[in-house]
Amino acid sequence: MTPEPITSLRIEHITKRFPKIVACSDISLSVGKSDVLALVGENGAGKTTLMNILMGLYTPDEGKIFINNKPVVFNSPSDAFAVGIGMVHQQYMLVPNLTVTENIALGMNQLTGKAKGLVERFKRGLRLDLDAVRRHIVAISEHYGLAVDPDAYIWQLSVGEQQRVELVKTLCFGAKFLILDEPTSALTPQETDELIELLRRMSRELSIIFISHKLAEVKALSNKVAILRGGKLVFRGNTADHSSADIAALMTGHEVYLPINQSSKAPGNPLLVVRDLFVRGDRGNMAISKLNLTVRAGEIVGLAGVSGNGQRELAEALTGLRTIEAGKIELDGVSLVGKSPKQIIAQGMGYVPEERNIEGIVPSMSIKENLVLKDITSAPFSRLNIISNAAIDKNADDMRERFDIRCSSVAVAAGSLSGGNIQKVILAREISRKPKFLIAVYPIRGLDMGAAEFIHKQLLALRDQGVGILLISEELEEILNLSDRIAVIFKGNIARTLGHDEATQRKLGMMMAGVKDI
Amino acid sequence: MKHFKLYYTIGVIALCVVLTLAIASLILAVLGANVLDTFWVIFCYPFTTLKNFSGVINIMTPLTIVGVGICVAYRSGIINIGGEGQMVIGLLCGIVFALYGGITGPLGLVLTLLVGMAGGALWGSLPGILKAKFGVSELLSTVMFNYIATQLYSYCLRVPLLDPAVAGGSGDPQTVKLDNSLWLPRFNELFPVDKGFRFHAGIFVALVMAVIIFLFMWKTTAGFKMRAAGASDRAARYGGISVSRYLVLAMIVSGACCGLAGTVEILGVHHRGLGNCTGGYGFSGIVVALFGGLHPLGVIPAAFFFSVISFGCSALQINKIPVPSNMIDVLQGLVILVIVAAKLIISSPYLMDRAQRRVEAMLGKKEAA
Repeated sequence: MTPEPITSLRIEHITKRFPKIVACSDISLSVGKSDVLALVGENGAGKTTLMNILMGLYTPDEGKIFINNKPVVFNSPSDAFAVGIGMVHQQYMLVPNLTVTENIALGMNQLTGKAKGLVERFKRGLRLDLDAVRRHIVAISEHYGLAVDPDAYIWQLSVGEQQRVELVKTLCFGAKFLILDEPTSALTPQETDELIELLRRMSRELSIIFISHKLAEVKALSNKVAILRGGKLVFRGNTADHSSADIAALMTGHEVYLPINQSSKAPGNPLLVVRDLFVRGDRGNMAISKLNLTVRAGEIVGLAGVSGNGQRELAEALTGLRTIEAGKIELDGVSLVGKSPKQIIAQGMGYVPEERNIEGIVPSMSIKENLVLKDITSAPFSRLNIISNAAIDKNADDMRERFDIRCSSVAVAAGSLSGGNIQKVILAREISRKPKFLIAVYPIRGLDMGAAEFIHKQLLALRDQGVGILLISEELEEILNLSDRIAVIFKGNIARTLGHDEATQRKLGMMMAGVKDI
Repeated sequence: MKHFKLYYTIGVIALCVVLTLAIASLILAVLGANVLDTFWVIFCYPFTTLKNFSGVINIMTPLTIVGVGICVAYRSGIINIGGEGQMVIGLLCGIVFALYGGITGPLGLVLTLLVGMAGGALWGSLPGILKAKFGVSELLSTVMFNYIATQLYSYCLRVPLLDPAVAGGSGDPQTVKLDNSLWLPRFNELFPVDKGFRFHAGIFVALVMAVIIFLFMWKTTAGFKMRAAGASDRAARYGGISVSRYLVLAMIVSGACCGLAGTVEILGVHHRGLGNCTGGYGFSGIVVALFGGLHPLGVIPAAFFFSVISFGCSALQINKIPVPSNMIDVLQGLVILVIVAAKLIISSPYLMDRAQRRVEAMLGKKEAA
């Protein structure tokens, strides 16, 4: 059963209220044939709610949806599927230990239409025609130029490949209209470019809505843009008519500029010294081999590189979470080799980890408990191992104000916060501990511009206080804005270290790709 | 629609109660029992006399202690299904100490309880260490340790600890009676109250234990670290917490609780070692812990509720109701299933949203008509 093509999708006056909050207020939009609409806005602006309404996960309190000028009502996601709307979520919904074909077959049955009669239904329920599914996948992936190996297991695939599987899955289900929720948030820059190219090709046949807060890709991909702020539609128009700065200002409600490291203060003495470091990765390979790195006090060293070149292993080795094979690590003259995470924390090491949702916080514990995760055994948060709730509450209230953590209460589970606020909780904890050194891994990945601006300002302020910072990122703009020096990591080694003045996007991009003579 | 959530919650609970009663009625009707009489015995008979009520309390005592112990393990990220084995080793240690320790009176009683705790703690620590050092799944190891414990106890009952009076006879193997100064006194012996208050003082041990464990888990740094390690081991490691150390500690505390429960059962009810004296509490304690929201204080009402049903079901035959006594398992399973379902339905905003839409649509139609 293939739904007819969607030549227009229109929503009119959509309003959705939740207890105490209006998530979407009187929003009207229209998307025509081959349109690519970028839906931008900060976290909590109502983008995801609006898309969930289009997917039939929520019903609007007011307003209507029209497809091909006919009003439709979605009571469940299968209603939305049935007319050809498909969504690729931010978190991929794939079973890691099944193959691509099996994953796609999982959702197929319910979508092949209602079978007539009990016997037929029973037969269809029992039969698993993987070959047919496989043929279908090959046909779809060839048609759209989506390279996917139908026999690969999901766990073998990179994040970018998994996303292609999600796309193929959605298309196999007969989607004629794609909704993508922050499709690039987990992708490397190369994968992002590939995806943009791919979507541009697909948009010849399909209409696409994609949610994003990266303005570069909004400009690159979309022909229309709609901006949400606080649940309201504040702007819609053609992308080409507006600059990134205009869109950013509309999105946040004020002019946004990401802060730039302009301080000319000379850095101090070497603080973190890494010599001839060897570290093994999860699969036993040597992820870091003979790496040398020095970071001085009051200096931000940006570690640029495509993810998977040893950044994670390096960060974990420096924080004691991963044992090293050989080499020397010193923080302020004290060797960290063989020390436990606890001892390294006590030496003044701060760490903003890559996976903020599962490593940086204990998601099911409250915000206030997470803020004292590293300090629970010391005064004033506990005395003689008895916890002082008053001190923990006071600390949480201070941090909430100082770091602008937006939450209904500091007693709610930290995992219920948005990405930006989780990062603020982590940063609040790490900064308030007055570290000598801070390792920040992808600190603004997936965050909106307002939160990114805030976090960058905090990092620069910390640098001016004389803290040494190792900034690990693959966003060249972030690295160039903040770093005093830039080290490029490639295959577990520092390819070269550049001063702030000699580095350019182009140079770094080539070095990250492994080109040596520039 | 105002207060929809309240109506919804009440509605779901009411529906669940009705559903439970309906299914139970069906089963009872098939068995040929009088439905109303059966329900009366299960839910009301336990409260008809003080003696019955005391029976409920005596069941509640070990259930609470085990339940609390299971909570500690669960909160620390370990599923301890070895409660039964830890109870058995605990009570075995307690019995040996009581018989051969030579200390009687209140001091002996307290020491026996402590030795029982130590035995359970030791037995609990072994799967903990295996998991921490070698990554052995606790699901596997605790079950295996249950078998070992049960067989070891069985051997001890039949050989070294066998009561000479039953030796060579065909009676069930058991130890001699413990010195009666080591027994947990009955409530009516401690206080000048009606003779019907026959339950033993173990209930106070249980309540104190629940409070202690609550304070331990929520007011001490060790409890904080155990909860952090249980909720997310990666984040705990990142935060400088030695996850494996707190994992072992959690199993020690959990095992200690179970060992205490076993010893209390011996000193309070049986007064000697005999077969099957754990009453399966090591397993039903898991259900109680889950039912009590994995919170030490939530375990108390949960254990009470279970004890009522348990006592009521076991009283069916005395009341000449033709229902097999293992009906209790069916009924308990049914109740748990329905409660879990109700919790899920109530906590899902998506289902609530749908229900609200349906109701509003129905009301809207009526208004329009």
